[in-house]
Amino acid sequence: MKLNLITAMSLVIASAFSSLAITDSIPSKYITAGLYGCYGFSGYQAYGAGADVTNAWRIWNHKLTSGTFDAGFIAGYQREPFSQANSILNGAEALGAGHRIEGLLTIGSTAYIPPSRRILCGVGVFGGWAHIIMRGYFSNSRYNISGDYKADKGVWASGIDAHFGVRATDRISIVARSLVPLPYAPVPVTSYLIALLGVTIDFHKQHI
Amino acid sequence: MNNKANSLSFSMPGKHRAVMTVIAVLAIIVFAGGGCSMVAPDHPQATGEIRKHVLHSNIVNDNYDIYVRLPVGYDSASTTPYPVIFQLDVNLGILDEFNVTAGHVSSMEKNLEIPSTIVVGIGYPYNEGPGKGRLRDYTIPIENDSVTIGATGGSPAFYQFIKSELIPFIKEHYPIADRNKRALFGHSLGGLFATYAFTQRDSTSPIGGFVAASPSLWFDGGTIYKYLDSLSIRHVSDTCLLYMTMGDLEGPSMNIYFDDFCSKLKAHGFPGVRFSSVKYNTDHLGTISPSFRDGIIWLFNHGMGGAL
Repeated sequence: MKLNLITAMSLVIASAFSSLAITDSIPSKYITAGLYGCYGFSGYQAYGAGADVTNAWRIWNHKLTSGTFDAGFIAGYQREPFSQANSILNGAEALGAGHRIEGLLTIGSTAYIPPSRRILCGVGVFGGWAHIIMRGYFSNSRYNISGDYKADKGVWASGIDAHFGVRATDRISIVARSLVPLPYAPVPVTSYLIALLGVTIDFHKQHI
Repeated sequence: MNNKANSLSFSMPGKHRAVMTVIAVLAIIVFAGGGCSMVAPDHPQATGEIRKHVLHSNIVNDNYDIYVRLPVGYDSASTTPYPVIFQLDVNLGILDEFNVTAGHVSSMEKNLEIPSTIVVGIGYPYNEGPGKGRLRDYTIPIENDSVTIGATGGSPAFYQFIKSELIPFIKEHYPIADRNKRALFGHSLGGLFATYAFTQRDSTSPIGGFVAASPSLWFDGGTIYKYLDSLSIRHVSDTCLLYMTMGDLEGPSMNIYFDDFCSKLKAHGFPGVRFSSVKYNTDHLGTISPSFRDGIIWLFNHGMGGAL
């Protein structure tokens, strides 16, 4: 039988759902992979997707809570249409979009809290590369103005990474994450904020 | 390894602890460096004395906070009048444009790149909403039914305030030079006003140099072009300096308006006008400091300050 993408994804998800019950403990070591929808804000709105891989080591294990040290990588893409400015251009029109991509290393810590260590929240920092590719067109027929627009820039991006989630099963979590770039960099490149919402799957390297 | 959740335990193999320690130290170094760059301003510290006046305008019917930066060694009885830069957006939140210009002027004076120069900041004694005063004063009258939040279209009155009330007030209190050694600096809507003020030049113009950084030429669908057209039929030939800048990350509307406006300016060849335009690989806020810094250099290199 030829495996297609949907079949492969189904097998992965099925294996992760091998136990629907949640265990009140965290593995001592595991890898997490996540897929997210992205929202970015730089004065205008951008939408896209992201994916990450994180290696986690359990560093504390208390009666009620556990915590990990996390190191990972996140890649993201957001598209920011220029047409968002058209409402203030009074008859003129901007077309095209800015395409923002990021490749960021992350380190931080996650705490798993009651009940049953189902809730997870974490904070950390990120550092890496952010790049904007802007391609568009503008026209104002009133004054016979028009032209193509093109700009590119990449910068080192660093900042604060915070996430919050719920473990649906031992291996699957629904996670909301925010990346806030600091210090100031050209906002079209890094945006003021990137918010992500998605699903993560844990692959246990060492059993509980 | 202790996997039992019956006590608070930090258990980890030694090599893992070493790896995490190295990662954590690297992260601290990287982000400490980033934090330092966040704290450090992108312009030199202003020197000299700063005085504040409150000036009421009968033309605009409003009050203004006027900040006057005097150079080190300022002499109120000087027989050599001082060049002066009028700066807009003095107290617009964190933008701090008065200190940007005053800082660059201070640094260049110290390096003997420019003569001692007075900087006059035009600010507002209130901070209501999204910059009520600047939206009213820096925008040209609407002709294309633009919808705005707050009063707009006060550029003509604000220009008359500068010409007939502010400059006479400054001349009365400080030994400032004539129009050929006066400049007006503005960014964003302030850049739009600086561009408008340039188009008002005639034989009585009180200011001879303009720096328009990231000017909002898109306002009201490009109505600023009508003022450029009216300038072309006024046949003015007095010397005037105009320096315009833009960030190439500011999007298609800002950039295409800018490119077109500059090319029409150059193509027209207004008698007496010396013009230069520059683009920076940055965003809207990123053009503030380099525009004012490079604008100062360009103006003084093209005759604003005279010989040192």
